[in-house]
Amino acid sequence: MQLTVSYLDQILVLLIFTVALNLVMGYAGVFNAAAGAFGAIGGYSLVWLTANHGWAFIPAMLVGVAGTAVFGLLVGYAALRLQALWLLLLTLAVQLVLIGTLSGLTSLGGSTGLQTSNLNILGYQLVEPTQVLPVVAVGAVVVFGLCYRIGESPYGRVLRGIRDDETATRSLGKNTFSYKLIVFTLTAAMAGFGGVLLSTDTTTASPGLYGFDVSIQVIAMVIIGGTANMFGSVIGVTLVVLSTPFFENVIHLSTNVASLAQGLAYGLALVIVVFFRPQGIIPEGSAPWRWRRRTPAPPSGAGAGADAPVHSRAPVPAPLVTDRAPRPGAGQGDGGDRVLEVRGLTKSFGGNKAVNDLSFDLRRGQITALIGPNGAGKTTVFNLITGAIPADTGRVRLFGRDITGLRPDVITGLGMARSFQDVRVFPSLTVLDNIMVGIQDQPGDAMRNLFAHPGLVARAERAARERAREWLRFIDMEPLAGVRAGSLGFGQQKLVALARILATDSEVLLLDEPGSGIDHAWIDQMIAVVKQVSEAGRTVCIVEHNLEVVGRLADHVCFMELGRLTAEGGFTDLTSDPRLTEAYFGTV
Amino acid sequence: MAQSDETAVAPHSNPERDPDGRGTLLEVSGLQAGYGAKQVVFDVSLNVGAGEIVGIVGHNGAGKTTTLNSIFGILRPRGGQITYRGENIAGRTCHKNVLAGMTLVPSEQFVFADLSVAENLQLGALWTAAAKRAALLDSVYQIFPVIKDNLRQRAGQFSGGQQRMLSIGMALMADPTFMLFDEPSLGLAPAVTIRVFDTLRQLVADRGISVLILEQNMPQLLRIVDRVYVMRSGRIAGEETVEELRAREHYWDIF
Amino acid sequence: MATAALPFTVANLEQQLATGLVSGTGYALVAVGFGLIITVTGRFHIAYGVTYALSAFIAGQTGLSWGLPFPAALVFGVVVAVAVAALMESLVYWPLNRRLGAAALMTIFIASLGLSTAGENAIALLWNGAGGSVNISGFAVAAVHFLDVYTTNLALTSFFTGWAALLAVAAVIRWTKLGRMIRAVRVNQRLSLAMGINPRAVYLVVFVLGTALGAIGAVFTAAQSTATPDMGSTPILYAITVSFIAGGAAPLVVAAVAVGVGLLESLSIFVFQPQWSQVVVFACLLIYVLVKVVRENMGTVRTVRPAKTAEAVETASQLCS
Repeated sequence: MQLTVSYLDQILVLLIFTVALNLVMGYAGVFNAAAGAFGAIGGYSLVWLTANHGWAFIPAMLVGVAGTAVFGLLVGYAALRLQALWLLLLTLAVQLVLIGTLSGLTSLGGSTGLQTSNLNILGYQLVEPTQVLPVVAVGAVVVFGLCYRIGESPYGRVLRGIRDDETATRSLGKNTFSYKLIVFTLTAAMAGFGGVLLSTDTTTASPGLYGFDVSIQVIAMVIIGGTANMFGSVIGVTLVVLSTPFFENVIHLSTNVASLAQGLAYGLALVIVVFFRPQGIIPEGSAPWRWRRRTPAPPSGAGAGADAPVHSRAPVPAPLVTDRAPRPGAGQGDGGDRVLEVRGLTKSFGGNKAVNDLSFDLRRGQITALIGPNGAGKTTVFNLITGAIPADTGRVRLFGRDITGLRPDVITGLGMARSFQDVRVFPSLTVLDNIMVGIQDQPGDAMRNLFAHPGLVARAERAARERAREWLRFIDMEPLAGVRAGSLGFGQQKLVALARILATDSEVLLLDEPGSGIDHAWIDQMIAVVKQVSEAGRTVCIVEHNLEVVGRLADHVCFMELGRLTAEGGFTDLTSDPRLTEAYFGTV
Repeated sequence: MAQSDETAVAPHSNPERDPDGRGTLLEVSGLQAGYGAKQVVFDVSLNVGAGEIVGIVGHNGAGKTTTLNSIFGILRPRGGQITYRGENIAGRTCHKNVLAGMTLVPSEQFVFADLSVAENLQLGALWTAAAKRAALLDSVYQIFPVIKDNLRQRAGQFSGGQQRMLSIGMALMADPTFMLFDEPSLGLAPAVTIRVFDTLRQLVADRGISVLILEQNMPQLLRIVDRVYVMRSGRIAGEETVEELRAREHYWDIF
Repeated sequence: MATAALPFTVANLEQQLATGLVSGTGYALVAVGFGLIITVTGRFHIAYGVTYALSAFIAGQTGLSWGLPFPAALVFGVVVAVAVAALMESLVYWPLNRRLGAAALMTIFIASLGLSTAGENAIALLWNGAGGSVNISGFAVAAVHFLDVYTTNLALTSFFTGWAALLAVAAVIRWTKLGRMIRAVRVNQRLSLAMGINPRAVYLVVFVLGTALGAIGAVFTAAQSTATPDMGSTPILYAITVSFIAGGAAPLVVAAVAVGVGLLESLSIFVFQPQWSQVVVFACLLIYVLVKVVRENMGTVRTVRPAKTAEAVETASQLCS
């Protein structure tokens, strides 16, 4: 009985580590190799304070968790700006240095570690597995609840967007660094808490208990169970922990051999899962209450007709009234207000001036096209005015407000959004979720609201879903709402990405090569949609190489050469200018 | 369109460069290709005859490079047929295509910048029979003296134009019968471009190499090609001969 | 922590230098081998530690069971290790690369983690009856004394054999046609395709060469103590450290940095107690990455290797085959 309960304790404690890592790695895509090290801080704090300094359990636990949170914040602040491989490396270095240090300090017991005895919460003894059980059970339930709530909420949707494509998420108005840092710190604290409970269960804190192989084991449990699925983590932990008694009692291996077999088993399982079922045993989005009901097969539109363009057009939904920017009248733009003013923009890469003293305006309600020969610097312009890269000199004004040097997510919030040439939909999110990420000012975007104002979050979520459906109807893809965006054809993905930025309710839309990568039937579709968006009052600017598209769409054309704007006007005017012709097609 | 340079360079006609009557070298029909979810080439059919210089023009993103890469074997085609010297080569590896006499000079990163000039040439000659190498090297030195003078230098330290010439030298070391060029004029100053294209034309005239060349620089291209395919949005929008193109007032409707 | 473990005398210095050079050579073999694999194929092959340990175990076992003399046992160990590495590349890494394109890097790392864990435990299981470790016999160890240094002929042999292997590999990479092909793939994979190079074959060769180097080091290291299933973990972490600090430099530069690590480890004993020497090395890795963070944030744009390898991995997935 004690033995069974002991295994249950182990499962519950490891579950804490696993759901925490699942939240930061499975949902947010941040690879953390230091789970063991974070646990060590919690565990060592508990043991050292209770055994060597006579602290009570709860204060020691709080110190352990708080200490890990601070440490996690520092590591996250340094690590989260790095790309995947470097992030992995930094967390690995942290893991090794921390455990190595703990192992070397004789005051902390060196490689054998520390022991504690007589742990109790206000007299309640924590010695036997059955005594420890209620404590770890409560702890596990609390942590599971927190992680589940965060992961499956609007906040979690943003995290998954960050995981799938951080740049695209940023361009939809979310400060991705802040999201990652908050989740990293929180899950570090949870790992610290897990360490406290692990050391409670084992009454020790040693380097071996929190080494790199423990980090690997937690990673394995996350992935085998199911990335971005908390129920999957339960399965993953249970399978891995119970494999040892399985090998002992069913296969009749000795204890020593059984634990080796466990390692072999989950190592192999990791390779097999990566090959044959990368989403894990319980995939993302799956939940017990959905298992009984069969998910309806996606309508045939997603399969065979994936690239057949849609034909009917619903009218453009009117933008929500917010205080974001001055709202235009619904009239046609023909040279009214200047919504975007770019002055003197310059950017060099190495010795090469990609953009050279560039100045142009976007007028309300007009479709402006940026064209120019190869190397003219057109794509760089979009990156500069949206804040994706810093300009060397120059000023950008949106609705009269200086936005030079602001972050991309801030600029989207001020009313200017961009699309990408390579589309960048969130492949593992549904079409509807993709569009919902675009909706601004959701209460569910702030973690505090998830727990303090759940009702508000739920109501806002329903409203956002309705709004997103309106945009889906506009692009005539409502039947595909529940389909994973990654399985769509490229033309459909382009429309979803367009609906996504329309959902930001931004006045100004910058479309990067709307006509690229699609067949001419889809190009017709795209042109019709963009025209309709413009007629409803939005200001559009496109960068495009396909001059047929430019001719059909643009009200106003800006000609760029070698980083400078050298001509503007109507399409026919510019194309009849011999000098421009020479500039575009080359000289002899 | 300016035709000022026409008289300076008279194009050779086909039969002169195909004395053995080898006929059609490359035949592509119904090619489809793309990257992941994105299909870029929807239906491309073209051919290149022995001794011909054929161009493909079109806007950025029209699918020119994708077509070239599919023919050469860098990209697995999704559909269609590619025949080279009568053999079906769709989906065949780059390695086999190089052995069969094809070379590709890409539009960017076309030399091994961290390796020396000499090593770059050696890599071009990887599969060339040892007996031929010395002669080929000599001819490359003759055409591009700057290569001979800087054998030990890191290729990355060459100027853009010099790198371009080195890339052609590397391709020549393979003793090719069919050369594929991806925007050779990209990033080059006009004077350098003229030199490069003149060299290309001379090579073809001397050795009967067939060439498929992607370009956006129309005037330069028209100095050397026999005919041109126009691509737009992943399809062939038309085919014109040099004479027809030169007679045009402008090219805006091609791109 | 501040009390020095060893008094600083000339004799001690010479001894520690000798120790550091020998262990540094062992680290150099692993660093160059691992570094070759990651810079050419982009794969974070952390399962390298498995083939490392396996080589030592096989060498020991063949000596034990078949009475093979040391050189033959060494060759056997290397051959088996190389075969396993080749299987890992052909059966696991390459298929994943083909299937996943640009997203393959992280997945391949995770698969490698799985192989690493499974492999280490498999070795422990296979030799569980023997107590989980194997000794390498067949080398008649004799003490050697020169200047103030006390060492063994085994240590000296490992030093010279190791450097012979390193120089051989460096020579292949620098002077031979195969080496040029490997460098071409590393520097510009797309262009190497245009030259008709077969990346799959080059990847396999790189795995063979890289694994062989580590395997040689493992046998000598185990011969000086014993072979244990986790003997690969520290060397591979050192190799990762060196690889990321030395970057894509030539093999002999990487080897030099690795020897530097060995010396750092052995000389740190004058300042720190012995248990700190490993931490000192990992602390260097940590500092290096932190410096990189600071420099990136100050706007200095550096060529980050992951970007190039991501592109290479994506190209490999779209190839004709």
